[in-house]
Amino acid sequence: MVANYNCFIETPIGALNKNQSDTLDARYNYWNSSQGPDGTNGAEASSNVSYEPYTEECANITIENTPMVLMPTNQKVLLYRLVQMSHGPITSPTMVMLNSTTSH
Amino acid sequence: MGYSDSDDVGGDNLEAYCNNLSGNPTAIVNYDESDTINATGNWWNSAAGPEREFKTYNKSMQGDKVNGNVEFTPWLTAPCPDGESFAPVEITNLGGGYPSIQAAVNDAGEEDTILAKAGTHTENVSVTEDVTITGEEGTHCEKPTVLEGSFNIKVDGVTVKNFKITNTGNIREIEGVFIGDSAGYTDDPDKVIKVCSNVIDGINSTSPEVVAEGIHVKSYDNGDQINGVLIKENIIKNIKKSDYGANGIKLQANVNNITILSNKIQDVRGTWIYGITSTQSSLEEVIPKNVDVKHNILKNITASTYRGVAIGIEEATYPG
Repeated sequence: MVANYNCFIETPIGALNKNQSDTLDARYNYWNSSQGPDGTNGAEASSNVSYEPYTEECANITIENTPMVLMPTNQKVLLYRLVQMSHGPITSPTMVMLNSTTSH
Repeated sequence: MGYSDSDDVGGDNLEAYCNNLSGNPTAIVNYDESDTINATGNWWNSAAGPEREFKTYNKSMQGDKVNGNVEFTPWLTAPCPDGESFAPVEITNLGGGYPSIQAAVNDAGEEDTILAKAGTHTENVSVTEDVTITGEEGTHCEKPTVLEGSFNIKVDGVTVKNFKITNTGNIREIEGVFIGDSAGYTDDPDKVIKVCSNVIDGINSTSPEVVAEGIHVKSYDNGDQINGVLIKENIIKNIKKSDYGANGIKLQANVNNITILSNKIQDVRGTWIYGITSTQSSLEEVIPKNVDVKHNILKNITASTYRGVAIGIEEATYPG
């Protein structure tokens, strides 16, 4: 299972994986804390859950007012990782979009 | 005034239309199973049409009663001649009117579009044809077409969208939308099941030891793998089972290529709880494959005995 760009709010455990033969990809999620699953009041991650990098915020979580497509807001972490992975200029459309978002 | 078609009166080919039927315990009755009374286009003292045996549309508001083999849809929304013709459900590409969603599904062909009008439809709909079923367009949070009951999607290629779905009962495991067929599912590799832009609000069973789910996708050991489901832009909330388990979305057994995108899952409560879970079943010890969960908000996933889990992969046979 791949679970990215989700927000876990006021929930004790953000991601739980009892399938010991496989890793749950839970990167780029918001864990109810700017410090991720290990932060104060953070939603926990179990073993066999890959959760880094995580995002520090999840904006507009009020269920009645939230835009339908919502991305965790701390794109700096994501961009940093993408740049790290790319080892060079950002060329794909997705990466260009993220770069533009973080410039504001 | 009332109409009847029986052997006593000889009612072959009886038609009754543009009548104002008001104040009759039973307005039209037909016990002759070989002949149908065409009673479309009448005013039944209610914009919700006549009271009938299987009350599905705005059932608390229905008018004078109809019994037996009588065709009454469409009806008039006001007394004749001012009332407009209305059917609570239509097959938009064919133009036919139906008293219930199930009646339209039963009459639909492949890739037809069924529109359920604004109002409350009380029924459990078994979807056995590749159709699109849509409620009327509403805002993100408010859907004017309400289903009190459930959709059971049994075939590939079905789309369900723009409904508010509530389901409370006391007979079994209960869902808002169930995808699967215990009699055997047939997968079409070129089709995807889509559940989009619905508000699933209030799923609760009073039966002991049964689970409540907003959306449940489950394969059985006597059919194909369920391959290709899109669950997008739904609000799923108030899924509650005080003495047992509850899930916002449960994926179970041999299902593959599931995309869960931009949903909001909130206020799921019970003894053990998952916002989204992927697990095996008692019939198939297989965990769903290729599950992609992105851009969802999961809030207040809280359990009374165990700890609430936003997203989980389980290995137990009967997880919440």
